[in-house]
Amino acid sequence: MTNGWRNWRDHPAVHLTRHFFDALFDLGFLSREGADAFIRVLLGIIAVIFSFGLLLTRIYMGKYAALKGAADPAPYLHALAADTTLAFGLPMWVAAFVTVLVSHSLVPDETDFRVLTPLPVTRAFVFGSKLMALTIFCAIFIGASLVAVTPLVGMISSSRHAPNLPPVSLAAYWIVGTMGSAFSVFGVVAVIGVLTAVLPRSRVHGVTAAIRSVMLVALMLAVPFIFALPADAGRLAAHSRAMYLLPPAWFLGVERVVFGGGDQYTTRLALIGLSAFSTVACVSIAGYLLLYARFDRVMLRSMHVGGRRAMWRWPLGRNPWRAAVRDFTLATLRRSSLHQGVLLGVASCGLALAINRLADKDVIMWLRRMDTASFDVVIAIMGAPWLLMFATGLATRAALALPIEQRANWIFRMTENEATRVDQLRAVTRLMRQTTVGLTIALMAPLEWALFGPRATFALATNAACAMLWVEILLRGWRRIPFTCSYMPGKQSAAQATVVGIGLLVLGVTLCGALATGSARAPVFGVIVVSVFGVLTWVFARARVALWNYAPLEFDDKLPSAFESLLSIGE
Amino acid sequence: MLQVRGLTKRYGALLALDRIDFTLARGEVLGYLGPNGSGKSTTVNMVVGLLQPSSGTILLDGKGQADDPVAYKQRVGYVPEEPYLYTHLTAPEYLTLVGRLRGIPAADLDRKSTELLRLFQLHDSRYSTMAAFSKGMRQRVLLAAALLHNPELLVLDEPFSGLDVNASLLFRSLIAMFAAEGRMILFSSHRFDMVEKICSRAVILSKGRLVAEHTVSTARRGDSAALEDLFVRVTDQPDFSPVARAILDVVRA
Repeated sequence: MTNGWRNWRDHPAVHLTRHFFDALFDLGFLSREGADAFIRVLLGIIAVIFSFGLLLTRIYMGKYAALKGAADPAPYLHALAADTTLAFGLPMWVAAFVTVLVSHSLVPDETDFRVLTPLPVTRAFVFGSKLMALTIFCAIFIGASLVAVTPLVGMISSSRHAPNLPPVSLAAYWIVGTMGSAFSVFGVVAVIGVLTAVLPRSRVHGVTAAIRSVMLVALMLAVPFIFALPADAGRLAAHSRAMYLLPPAWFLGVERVVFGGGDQYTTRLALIGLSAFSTVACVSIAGYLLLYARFDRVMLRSMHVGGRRAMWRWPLGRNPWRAAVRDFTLATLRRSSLHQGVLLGVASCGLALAINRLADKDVIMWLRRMDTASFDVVIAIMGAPWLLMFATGLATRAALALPIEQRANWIFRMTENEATRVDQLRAVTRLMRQTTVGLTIALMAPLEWALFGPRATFALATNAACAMLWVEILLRGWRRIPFTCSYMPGKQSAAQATVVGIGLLVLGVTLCGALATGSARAPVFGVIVVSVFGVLTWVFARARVALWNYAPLEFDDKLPSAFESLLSIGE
Repeated sequence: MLQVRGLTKRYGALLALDRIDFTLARGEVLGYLGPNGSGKSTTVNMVVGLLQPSSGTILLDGKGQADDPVAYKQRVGYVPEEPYLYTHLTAPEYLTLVGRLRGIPAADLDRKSTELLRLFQLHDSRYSTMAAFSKGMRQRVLLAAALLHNPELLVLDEPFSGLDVNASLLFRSLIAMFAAEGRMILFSSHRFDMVEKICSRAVILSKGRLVAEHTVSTARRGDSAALEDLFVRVTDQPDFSPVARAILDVVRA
């Protein structure tokens, strides 16, 4: 080992940066085994990103085989522009997502403040190390997503019709793609930085946590629109002004202007992009400098709370044990940004998929006309309830499974009572039903009513029966008070979870949609379906309550055996 | 009366606690002393029912803890060594949670928690989540939660850690009055002065074994020298002067 390397490695800035970097992987609520499992999950996710990039390339090969061979370059160039927008959009989304996930850690926290301030190091040194750790963390994910999409860019830009040679196209993609990803990072930092700087100190933590959840939901809802970007080839060709609102299109403009192939329209897109980039960069840098100057605002929690915090009380709750768990659960979901983020983030995936189905051209036309719906419209609408219930069920279960202040669970251990255990755990069933069944029915009722009229009641009853059964499946083996049990991520491999998840989505959309449609068209069939699902739900519920009656509460999670992991859902 | 008989805890090959015997009479405050790793917390966790003994029995008024753990735990209040509580809740929310888990009727719970918060000087902070509380404030919340159900046995694990002078004086008075009402208090601590001032008797633990018992004479209350001498003698504490000297040598080098 050379002295230069050793000196660099032992430099205090490198040490502190490494400390901050490692802390970004430490979610705080995981045990040592859980943290190891989390690293495996992250590696699995990166592997899935790479596989997805290769799959996308394979899918696009078919499309481009014909385009590249055509004599007229116009269709190829239009498709290339739209697909390049997608190629920019994916890393931009990943960059924004990762930055939102670590946005609670943009500046050193209270522990850093208390540990590092007494040491003979400057604030600039501490902030610089933190910033470097965040930059490396985000760069890893941005780099991974750029690498994952590179085969696609290489494949689509290898044509005699392409405006640039493939190496130039790839270099342009990497340079402008990095710029687009940096735009996403700056955008998130700007929002959090400005809010932290301008809000009263007593509100900083609460409001920024809420904004993080909102950004997470917005990102999830943006996913269908990103994958719809290739469909915008016509709009790009027609120089539509609507593209001025799409950030990935701005960076297509930058690429074209800088590396060739630009025109007046792409120059306008590039100008918007560069203006937006410089604005968010300036605002985020200013916000960060402001935090640097007033770092006590975010490091130390305020004792003062602006107003009265009303205890969340449900007027109809009479059972104190159920009420105890219900109020604890609701208070945690309202105040913990981690749990709120998981609940809203995963649930909004389902909402995004449902919106993707409902944003279909035929459905929009039908909504305008409100006449007899075609088969395609019925299929599109009736597939949405499963997407909603699937995601909200998983989201609620995942949020309830994550611990909070695990060492404080002694109060639940100490007061565990066989006679009241079932009452306590029923709070979980109720919440799961409220989110999974209630939310799905509330969101779908107007559309299904518009589709079937009064007969929608049978379709909605079938939806509800499916959701009730799904809740029971998700609660199979559950015997935890929410947030009190340790958590081991990665009970299934990322690849296995992806395959099982996609399989369940496709199967559920088909089956649940067909059963609900059949129920609306033939009420007798609907009654039969609801009865069968009702009996199945009752059987599962009986088994669940029987388990709760004899099995003690679970406070320590464990990795399942190989066989159990094959059967586990939603872990 | 609390009777601990032959209490033993094994973690695999490790014997954490070896046949511990002690009794705690009504109206008594028993000090439970020992160096780090001596098995104090293990004993406390077993007495409050958080940990199952490998062997031995714990009897409260002649009834075994293992016979009816729920009934036993209904009679026990516990303040843990570290202020482990749900800091995203406010103090009233935490007390409501604990009260409901203990099955206290709603009207009683509201009244008691409001009054306790006022008396523990936490009422002004009732709308703030406990994340913003100091260690002393959290300690007061834990004591309020431990008293909420009017326990007969109070188990205190280092309850004075982080408390300011006023709160410490209040705690001391409270413990004395609580014992005067015929209740039992098991007081686990490292602080000889506190044990001397509060306890009527102390037992000393070393390496998982009970090595001494000390009766605090009323006349000598406040003088912790006798207890400290006994502690140093029975727990084989080394002479720390050479260690201190070695530390200074390392620092100077």
